[in-house]
Amino acid sequence: MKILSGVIRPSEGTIAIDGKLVAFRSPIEAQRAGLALVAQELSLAPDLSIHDNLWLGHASAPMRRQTGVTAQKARSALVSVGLDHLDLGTKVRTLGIAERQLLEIARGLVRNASLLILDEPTATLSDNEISRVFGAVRTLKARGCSVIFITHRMGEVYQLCDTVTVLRNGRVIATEPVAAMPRETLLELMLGRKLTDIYPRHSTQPGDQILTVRGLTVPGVVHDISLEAHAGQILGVVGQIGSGAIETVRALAGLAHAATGEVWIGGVPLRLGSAPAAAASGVRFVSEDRGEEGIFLDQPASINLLATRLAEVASRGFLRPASLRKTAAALAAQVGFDTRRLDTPASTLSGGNQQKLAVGRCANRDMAGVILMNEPTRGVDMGARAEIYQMLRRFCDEGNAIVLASTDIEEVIGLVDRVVTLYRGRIVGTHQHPGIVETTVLAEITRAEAAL
Amino acid sequence: MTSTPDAAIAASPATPRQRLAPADLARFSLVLAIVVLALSTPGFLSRPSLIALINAMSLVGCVALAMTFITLGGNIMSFSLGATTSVAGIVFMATLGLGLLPAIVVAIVAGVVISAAQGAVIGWLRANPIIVSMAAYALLIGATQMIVGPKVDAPNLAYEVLKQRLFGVPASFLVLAAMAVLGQLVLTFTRFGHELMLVGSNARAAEAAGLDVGRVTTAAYMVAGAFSAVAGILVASRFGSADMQTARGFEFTAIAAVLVGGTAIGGGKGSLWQTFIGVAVMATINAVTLLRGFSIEIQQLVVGLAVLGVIVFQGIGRRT
Repeated sequence: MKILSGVIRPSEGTIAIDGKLVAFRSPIEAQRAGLALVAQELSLAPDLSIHDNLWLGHASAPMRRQTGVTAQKARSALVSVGLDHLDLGTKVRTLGIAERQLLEIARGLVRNASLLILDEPTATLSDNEISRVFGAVRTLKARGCSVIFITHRMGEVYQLCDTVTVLRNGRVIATEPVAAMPRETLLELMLGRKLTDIYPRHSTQPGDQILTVRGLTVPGVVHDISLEAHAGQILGVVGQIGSGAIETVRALAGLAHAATGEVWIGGVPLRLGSAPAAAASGVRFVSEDRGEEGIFLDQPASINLLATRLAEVASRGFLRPASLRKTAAALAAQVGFDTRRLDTPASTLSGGNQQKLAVGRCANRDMAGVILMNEPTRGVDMGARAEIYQMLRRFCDEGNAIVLASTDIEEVIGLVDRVVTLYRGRIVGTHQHPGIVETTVLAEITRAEAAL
Repeated sequence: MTSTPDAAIAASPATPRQRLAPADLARFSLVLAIVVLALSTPGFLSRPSLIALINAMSLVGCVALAMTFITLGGNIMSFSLGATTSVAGIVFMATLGLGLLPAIVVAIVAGVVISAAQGAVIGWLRANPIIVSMAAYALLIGATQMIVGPKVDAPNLAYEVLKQRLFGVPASFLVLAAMAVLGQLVLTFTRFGHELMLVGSNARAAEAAGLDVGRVTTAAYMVAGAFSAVAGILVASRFGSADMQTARGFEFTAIAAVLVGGTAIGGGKGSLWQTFIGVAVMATINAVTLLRGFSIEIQQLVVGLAVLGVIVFQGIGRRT
């Protein structure tokens, strides 16, 4: 995608648009050829208005503000993506994440793109927000615009796409019309091996209750949440963006300073609002935002794995290099990370490998505890995903309790033993495997009247 | 993924050779240019010139080492290290009547306390490090002049031992070298050193992982305070008196040395060795321009260009 949009130049091969060979030396040249990339990390300026954001980076944006012409064009782009209720002067900061995603697409339209590339546009969205993005994509298609839609979610391929191309390890594996590609075949092509089941077995015997939460509240986000997690079990906390699911998990990790309520870990009260306090009482946290909050990109893989356990490889504050190497290698082997790459900086690793490092920090502790995870497989390829699921099940078998929040309903249903559904910061329902039904969960997290 | 841990240990030192980044190349050519320039300058290799060079290095050098801890920890730089150096020098002179060793200890404690207070505010309250250090600078200047007046003279000559030479090398330079070695050992081999690098490389990830960012930051500032205090003791000893003027502006030369040495301004990458080289480069630039008869303005111009060059190339290196 970076090559297509001119960010990186290819070492060989050619790109043709409408039968004409092109070679982009910069993103602006790609833009002139009618290509628009909507990246996974949104590139909007939060303090500028919608209008200014739509024109930001436009190859032929007028030097002088000509609000008449530009506003008209901006408005018609907003209509196409279904954002016509918004005022052009609105600051982007006030918009929700779905609206920002749609705005990025609208920006492509303002640039007269004939080919839009969407890189996992739905990764951070909830279901009814996703349907708005889908609606916008269908409108574009009807207007004769081509769309390349990159996704890790199988269902979206069948809902939206006409042709599917499977890429694995930098190679094209297959290109077929969607209609001619059964679901199982597609999954096997993505995985590169026979599909057994990417989800491990469920737990049948819950152990001791490790985590008890009573009346957890984060002002404006989470209201009076009470829940329990047992050793050997995976508890899913599900809800749409803004439901408080992610925030509940963050509050338990000590990352919400305004959180109140009572939390016990293994019967011992936990002081809320302090991440070091949470860590000391056996809580481990894997963030939903890998680049910003999960991984130390400058640091080698080994230090990333050992970040939270430097005390274990040190005596009296001095690190023992031999023990450091040994522990890092043991952890790497356990999470399926190539031990020959322990000295590589994390910034050069794939999303899947980075996530293995983040998850690997939770492995193999002396003290069983609570492992908290937000979006454990966001931006992670299918192969690494299956490995991470197996890893989580193993952590459970070692006596840990896992609490995870995810917006990927398929993943939640396949993985968790018990699920708590949230709507607007309150618990709507609780279900136990095998009684977790996708439609019920979906209805609960989307239906307003259930919570009011 | 099939390799065993033992195989990994055996194979690990053989990391692939990386191509020289533009920033490293720029830094390397800068050092080379300066060495050539220095060697071709008449009188540079004379004994008095070299002694002057390492004398100049050692005072600012201690502050540069102090600054490195702040930069590595992700707090960019401190405007108050020069003032901390001055205050420590004043405390040293004021307590010298108690004896040399007690005075040294009291001065270092003063530096640590001044700096730790800033570190605590920055680490636990997430205050902007630049603003905090500017406030601390103003407070230190004001408070010291109110309390002790313009200048403190030495009550005795006990400090003279710090001006002596060992095998012809000034004691102050030996102190600098010892501190660089000690500091780098702390960074490489202690838990604190690694945690400091982690906090500097990504403070949010460090907090999410449960590291005590406040404690690590405060500790880094304490080390910086101690190192600055040592600089203050050396400065006061050289002049036989202490005031708030002699170490003024040390922090700027120090941060220049840190950056020329190649420590990342954003934190998490760099070392005291690199700062040591940076200090040597800065001192050599000064010595060479002086020996060649350039004015102080030209000197500052060259220093400014050197820092700018390294920063520009660092930026280019990050983009490619």
